[in-house]
Amino acid sequence: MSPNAFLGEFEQMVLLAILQQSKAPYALEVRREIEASAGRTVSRGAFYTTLDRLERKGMLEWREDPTPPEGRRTGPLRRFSVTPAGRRALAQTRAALETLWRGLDLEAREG
Amino acid sequence: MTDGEGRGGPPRRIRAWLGRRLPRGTVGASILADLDEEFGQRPRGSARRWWYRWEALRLAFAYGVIEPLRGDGRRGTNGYDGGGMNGMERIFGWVGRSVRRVRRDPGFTAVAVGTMVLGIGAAVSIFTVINAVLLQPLPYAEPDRLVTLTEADPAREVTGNVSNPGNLLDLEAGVGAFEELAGIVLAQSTLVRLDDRMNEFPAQYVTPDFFTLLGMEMAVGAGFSETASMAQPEILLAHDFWEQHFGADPTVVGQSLEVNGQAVTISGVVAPGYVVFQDEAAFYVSITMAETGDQTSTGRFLYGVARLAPGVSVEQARQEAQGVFAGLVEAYPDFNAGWEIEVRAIDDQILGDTRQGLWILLAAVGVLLLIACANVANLFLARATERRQEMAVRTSLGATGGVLARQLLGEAIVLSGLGGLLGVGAAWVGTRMIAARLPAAFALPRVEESGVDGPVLLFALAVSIGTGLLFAIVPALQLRREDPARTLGAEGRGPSRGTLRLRSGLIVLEVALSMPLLVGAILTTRSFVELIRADPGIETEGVLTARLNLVGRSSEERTRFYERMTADLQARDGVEAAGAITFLPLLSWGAATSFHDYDAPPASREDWPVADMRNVTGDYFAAMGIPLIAGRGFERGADVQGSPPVIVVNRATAESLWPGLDPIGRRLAINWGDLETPWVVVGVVDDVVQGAMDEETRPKVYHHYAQTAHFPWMHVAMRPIGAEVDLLPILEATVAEIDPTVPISQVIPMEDVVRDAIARPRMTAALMFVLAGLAALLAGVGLYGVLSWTVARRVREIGVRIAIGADGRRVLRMVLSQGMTLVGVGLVVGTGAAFVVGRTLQSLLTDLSTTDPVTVAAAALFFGAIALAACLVPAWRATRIPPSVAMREG
Repeated sequence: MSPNAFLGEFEQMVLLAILQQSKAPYALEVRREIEASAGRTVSRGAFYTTLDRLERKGMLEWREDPTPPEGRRTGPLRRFSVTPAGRRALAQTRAALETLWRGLDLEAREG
Repeated sequence: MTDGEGRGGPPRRIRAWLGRRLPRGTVGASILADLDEEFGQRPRGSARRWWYRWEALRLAFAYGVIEPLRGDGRRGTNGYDGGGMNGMERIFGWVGRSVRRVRRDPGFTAVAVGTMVLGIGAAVSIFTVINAVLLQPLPYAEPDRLVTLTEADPAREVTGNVSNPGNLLDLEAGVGAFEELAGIVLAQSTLVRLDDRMNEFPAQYVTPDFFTLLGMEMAVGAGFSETASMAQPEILLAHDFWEQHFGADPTVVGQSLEVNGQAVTISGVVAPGYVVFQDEAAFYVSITMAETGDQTSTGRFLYGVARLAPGVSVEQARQEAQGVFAGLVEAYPDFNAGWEIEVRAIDDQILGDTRQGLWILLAAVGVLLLIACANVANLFLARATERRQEMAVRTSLGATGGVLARQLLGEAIVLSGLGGLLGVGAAWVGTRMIAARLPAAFALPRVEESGVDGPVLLFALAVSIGTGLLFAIVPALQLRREDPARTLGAEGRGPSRGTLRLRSGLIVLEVALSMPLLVGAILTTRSFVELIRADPGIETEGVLTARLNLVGRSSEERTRFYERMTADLQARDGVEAAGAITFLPLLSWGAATSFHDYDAPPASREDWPVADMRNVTGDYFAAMGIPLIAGRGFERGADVQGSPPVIVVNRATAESLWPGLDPIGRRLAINWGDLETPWVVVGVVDDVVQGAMDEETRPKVYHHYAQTAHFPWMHVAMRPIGAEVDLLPILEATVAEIDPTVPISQVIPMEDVVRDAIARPRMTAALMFVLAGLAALLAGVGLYGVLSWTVARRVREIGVRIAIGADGRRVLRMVLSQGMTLVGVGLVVGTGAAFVVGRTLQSLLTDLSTTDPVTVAAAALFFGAIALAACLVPAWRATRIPPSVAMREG
């Protein structure tokens, strides 16, 4: 299903930010979570196109929430969740990275 | 704000615009809603509306441009994503495919690339010249602090006049804003002995501190010594002169050279690349201002150059200098009354009017570039429409929007890269063509240094890639909104409404932009034609002129030489008439002074008119074909030193002083040495131009050289009897017979003198015409393209009309009126712009109203004709569509 199981950095951040939330979050909550934990601003365009791409890859899915939260006046609200394929891809990526990291101690060497 | 939804909502129009660019359905709607929610959380006011617009733009960019380029990594739709290939392989594959696709459509490629080459080639050529001439600093130290000092006499409309050494010395002493002040005398003819032969070279006389003031360095030697002056003369060689005549031998410094019969020490060689006042010099001779005289003993003959004290502006220096000069007017009223001092940045002095001409050309070429861009856009749009079906088929087979957009972008980059490359090549050739013609015509001081270099290449690259990308993105964005099912159906054959509107708008733009160019071209051409038609007052055909210089000889010797030479020349076979004059028409402005009617002097000295002063000998008037209107010409042997002083005046003098009266026998007082001598008018000749073809005729007084041998040089003019006579050997033999040491220089047929005098307006007219012609051509091609395309789109409709009996003329009219409506709108807009342009062109034109309705009408007509031609072919084709074909096509 997913030949490109290896995830990009930003894709990982998006998936992890969704998983961090207890309840399936909507886009603004995901973005805020990334901004808060990564300490960097996230371009709206890059964010939404990444969501679309992850969805096309089958790593996340969304359903429409009929009861929008307060302050939300217009339009539909999508709540995102990570699919089993997404979780697998995250785990594979982490494992691959850990393999590569093994035995390296960059911080100490940077001095 | 017109696009608001009530007071608090997000800008409505941009929201709708964004909505069309986002994915369809819930996805797009939820993104919009997210943006709305954040908008609602921001503080009210216009700031959040600008924030919204900015965010909307960025989102649209991400979805319209970035995402398609990036691709989605999905494999297998049509193989284009290349699955496991790495980045470089993908890019090479992408470029390769793009090149192949571009090659598949040679017609489109040729037209698109050709248009870009025209636009970029023209733009970069002109930009290169302008970059070299206007944007590069002069080769002096801190050129911003350099000014030139000239004098002006507003009452007599004299500006940029040379100054007096006494005035300059007093300014140097009195104006604190000037840190240093130097003087220069331009274009002094000198006789130099080289290899035991006398040669005439132009030289400049400069004060010893001149080069240090400019910050010019010596290539060899130390420069002028402390004692350099007219009394103890030294010279500095110009770099070119040193290379040509001394083989760049550094040991010449310290040796001496015979200049005007005097041995002069060579103190150095000036570093290359140095030009002052567009004036060529072989070498520079030392003078000091003090030894050349002052306000009471001499006239005006030098330019002042000053270095401003640090932090002083040109305006401050000007005001201070004007104050000091007012004192000089009071101190020397006889000499300075009516005169003012002018202080100008050295750039202005050196570039002068050239600067404005170049900016106008740059504007013209910018417009041409815009038209080329509009045309390329039109081509891309037309092609995108033609390929809607192809794209729709591929979409339904699974190609994503990203893949298709990347394909369009790839083709655009290949095309614009090709256009840019060839355009720069064309510019390289074009720059050389312009540079080869410019020095004589525009007298650009720095054009030889211009080459297509870094910033210019960057400019070209930015223009070409920018054009290509911009116009590839538009169709790519449109593609994203298309529904393949509809496109594949019947209605997909034609363009979408939006595309049609866009393309029509581009045509209107092209026509509107071309109009001012055309008007400008017609105006400059017309003023140029007036110049050609202007009667110089000379019969130039076959006349040969040359310059002789007898500097250092006594006036008796000179008179004898010139009289014998012209007489001998006239006696030779093949020579009809020969004479000589001190200042040849159209070659230089020459000397001038004030004069008045000896027997009726004006009350105030300021009312004295000014006349050009010319000394002639031999049969000058006959040689130049200047008709004698009244009285007689000069007589050899009769009008000499000691005999009554006589003059011949031109028609303008006679008509201004004695309108309707007989001028013969009347007397003039001339401010030329002494005012006491009454000069008797013995003859009147017709008017002749002097400095330029388009100047106003002004009084001119001719003296006989035998009575006033003021200048050592003369320009000899010879008129042949037949067309086949070779006059130069005759001149050389004659001069050698009398005195073989006299050098002959500046051998120019009089026809060439006249031609060179109009070289600059001819160049402007030619360039403008080429630019306007290209613009009209491009606009015509664009128009043709749009019309044939709309006809193609309406094949079915037209076929049906013909099938049910509409006649061909009606169909023809329908297509024509559609095309001509676009042209009409463009012409109306363009005419408005043309009037504005006309006003700007004023400085380049001769005696022509710049908002001349005839010119504007001519431009409109010319354009109409091109447009009609562009419309006719597609319209005629439309009437030929057989109904059967039309039905099948539909």
